[in-house]
Amino acid sequence: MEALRDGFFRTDVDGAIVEINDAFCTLVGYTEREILGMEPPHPWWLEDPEGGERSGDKIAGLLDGAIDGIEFTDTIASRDGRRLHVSASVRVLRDDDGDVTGSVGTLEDVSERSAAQDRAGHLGELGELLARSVEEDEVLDVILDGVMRTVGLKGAGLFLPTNEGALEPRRHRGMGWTHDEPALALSSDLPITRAFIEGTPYFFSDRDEMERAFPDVAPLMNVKDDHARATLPLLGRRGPAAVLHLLFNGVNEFSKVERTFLGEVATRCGLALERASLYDEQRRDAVRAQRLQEAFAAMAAAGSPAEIAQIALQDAVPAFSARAGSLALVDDEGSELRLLAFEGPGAAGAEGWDVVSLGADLPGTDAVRQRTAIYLGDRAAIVERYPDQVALIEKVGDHAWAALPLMTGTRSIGLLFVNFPTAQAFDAPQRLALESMADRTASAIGRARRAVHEHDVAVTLQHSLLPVVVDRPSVRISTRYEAGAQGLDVGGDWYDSIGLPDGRIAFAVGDVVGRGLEAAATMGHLRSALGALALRGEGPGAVLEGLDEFARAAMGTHMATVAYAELHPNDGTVRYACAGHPPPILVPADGPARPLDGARSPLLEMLDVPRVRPVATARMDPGDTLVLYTDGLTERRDETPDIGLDRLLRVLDASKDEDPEVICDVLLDRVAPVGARRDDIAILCARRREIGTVINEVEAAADRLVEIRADVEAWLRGHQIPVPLREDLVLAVAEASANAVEHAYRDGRAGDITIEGFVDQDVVLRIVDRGTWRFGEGDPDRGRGMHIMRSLVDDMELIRRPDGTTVVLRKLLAGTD
Amino acid sequence: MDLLLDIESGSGAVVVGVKGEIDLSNASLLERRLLDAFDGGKPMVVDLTEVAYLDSSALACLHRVSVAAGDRAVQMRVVAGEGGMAKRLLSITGLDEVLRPCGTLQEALASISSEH
Repeated sequence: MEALRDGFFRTDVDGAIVEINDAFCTLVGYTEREILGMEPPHPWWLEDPEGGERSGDKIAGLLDGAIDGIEFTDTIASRDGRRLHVSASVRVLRDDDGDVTGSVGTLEDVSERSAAQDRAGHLGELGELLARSVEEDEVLDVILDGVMRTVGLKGAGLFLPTNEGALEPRRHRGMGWTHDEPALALSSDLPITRAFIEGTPYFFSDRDEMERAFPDVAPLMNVKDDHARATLPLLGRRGPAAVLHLLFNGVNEFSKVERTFLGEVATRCGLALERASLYDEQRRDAVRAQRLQEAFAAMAAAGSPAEIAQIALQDAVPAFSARAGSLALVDDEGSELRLLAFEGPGAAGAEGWDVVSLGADLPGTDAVRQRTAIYLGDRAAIVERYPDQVALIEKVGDHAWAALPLMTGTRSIGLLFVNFPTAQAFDAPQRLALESMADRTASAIGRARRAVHEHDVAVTLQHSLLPVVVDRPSVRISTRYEAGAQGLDVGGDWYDSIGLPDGRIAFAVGDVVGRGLEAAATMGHLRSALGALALRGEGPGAVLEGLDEFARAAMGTHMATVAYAELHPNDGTVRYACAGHPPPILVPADGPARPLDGARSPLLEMLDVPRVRPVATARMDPGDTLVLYTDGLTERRDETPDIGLDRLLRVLDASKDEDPEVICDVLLDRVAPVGARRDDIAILCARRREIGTVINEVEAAADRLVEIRADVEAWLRGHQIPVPLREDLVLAVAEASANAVEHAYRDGRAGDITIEGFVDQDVVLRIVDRGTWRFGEGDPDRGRGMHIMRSLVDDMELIRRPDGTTVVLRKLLAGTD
Repeated sequence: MDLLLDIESGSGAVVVGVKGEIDLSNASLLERRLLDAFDGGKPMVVDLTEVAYLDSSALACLHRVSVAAGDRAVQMRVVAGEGGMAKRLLSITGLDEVLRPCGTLQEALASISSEH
């Protein structure tokens, strides 16, 4: 549980401290015995760097009785050197005659709160840096520099797995490391290895805790300290990519918020690291594939090994005046040869040869095992070496055989076997021709096999670059990415959704023109840049203009399009802009689907001319759906784009009552069925939730709160929401309403509170007022109210606008009794 | 808002039984009534077991009253029951560490006399 631990103190009339609680001792780092009786100045109050009055002096000044109290925030120095940001509230105490008898105050540690404000920025910054780094080495440096700066650490180290089942210290920063850290065997019982294997983080509030949990760690320690440590597995989609071990400045209890933040940092680093290694792998494959492609232009058409085999035999049999030819491949276990293709008169020659054990005593198996060609120029040679084959050669009429292993590198992957109806000299030019045919075939088959692998890598890379989009209380979001069908044909399509600080939700879908690795990597950069730009909150025009700048500076020759929209969930306003991208489609719950085709402008700029991007506005009512997509969904080779758009609109009209998840599937099935797909496809489908039912609308007044509670309780009961959830939700709504009563209409203006509710897989409640919440950072009572709300529900959105404030609460129904 | 206070100033302590619902509309009233109920240096027990509903305003009120009690060197105990809303909210907000609520009235009274 994450408690508010307010420090409490009381002073006498001279400012000497006469009473404190444990929390106060913890905050300032002195024991109760040390503090009690301590006269001002108290050591935890710092000098004001700008020469103003120390907070301690302000408190002492209260005791002359001129004013009743002060509230302020300040940084204090704890005895152990920590700096804490505190919010303080101090009141004078008076006796019955009104004379000052002392003061009493509370100190709340708001470091966490101010830290939280910095964190979003830090994460964005780290994300941006990670997105710009491509090579693994670069990513490792960014991770370490980034965490050292954003988390405020004494030291940080990265451990990466080796092929030998160990974790190797690859890079470190700051304190706590020697130059020859040992590699850690995965079998050792240490936080770093356990975090890697289990995929879960370890947090140790001090060194003692770590050494108690992992006794084996003690002998490895080369610094003397009692500091906190965190060991975070950096998880990619394919599993753990590395372990990040952090050494903190001092002990640290790791609040839930801190753990979440560190988890978020680890996630980003893990995905970036995985992306970097995929990038390296893919780049190597891509270069090789390109060379192969050029070399084997003659075998261009072939897609699968079987096709290649067929082409090779059709070529070889007549060219060598052979009777027949066969091509077989070694199976995955390396124990059998399996026939892939046969060319010859009738199928009879291949009978009984579908599967041959590699152990068999035959020219073909010998050639594969020995990795050398075997030439048998006449029947005598055949019979001498393979006496069992006499019956066969007489039956089929063969006089000579050539058995050629198919080699890729030093591996023998199969066999080219040629049957001759006459004796052969097998002179040097003939051998050369046969062997180069075998080589060409082997290479082509190898390429076809790799293409399958490359496609998998590219798809994994693409998926690793795409975000996991989650529902928000006020918007239901579904997304799809479908890779194009063949080989390296993975494009740069992407989608994203970003929650902005004021409650707006941004949606984006884009397309980097180009294929394969480069496009996918550029897409990742572009998406990260868009996220960072969106978080500035300056709206769609500024986002696209920022992307123009990014494209000019960082994208090389890749052209890119993007559709971007921001929804304000409070009133359904959508502001959007498109750069060279097909228009988003608005699907109203009660009207025909239509393209949002205002705000169109060209592709992201590669020119050095800044451009003002137009922005248009639309409106989404609850239940309306917004669909963003890439042209892979609508465009077919033999059609003009408007035919595809019409098809999309028709399908959306027919399916708009479905859930967004279902709509995505229907779009893929009916607008771009697998056979008609040419390109990759990204779809983002967002529905403003139907928070239609108004539960109550009352004047914002304290004596109406009881009525709000009763109505919400009755509404929840009507929807068969079980008691424990009901109690939590009523209390959370009441707290939100109390905030509206106290803070929304402070200027004396009367106003209303509207409570709306919606039940689906979850209960969503919205508390809407038309005022502006004004409560200071240091208002402990309201802070408590917000904290209560957050603790009682699964999600809370606070949407502030000049014309009102909305709280959206969501509680999941699944998994409860 | 229904708020009923049952104030009993016995020999050992002032016991205030609170009944009904406490929210923003009556929390300040409750605060005044509790401050009025101080009887010299006599310990005070605020019993919340009969409270049907309370919110963060109620917690703020209890916190301020406990500060005032400290100021008057009056021992104060809060009875929050077991498993009820009061107990839960005190724990969510961490105020249980400041107010150190007791499970039952008997427990609260015993803890006072043990310090006498």
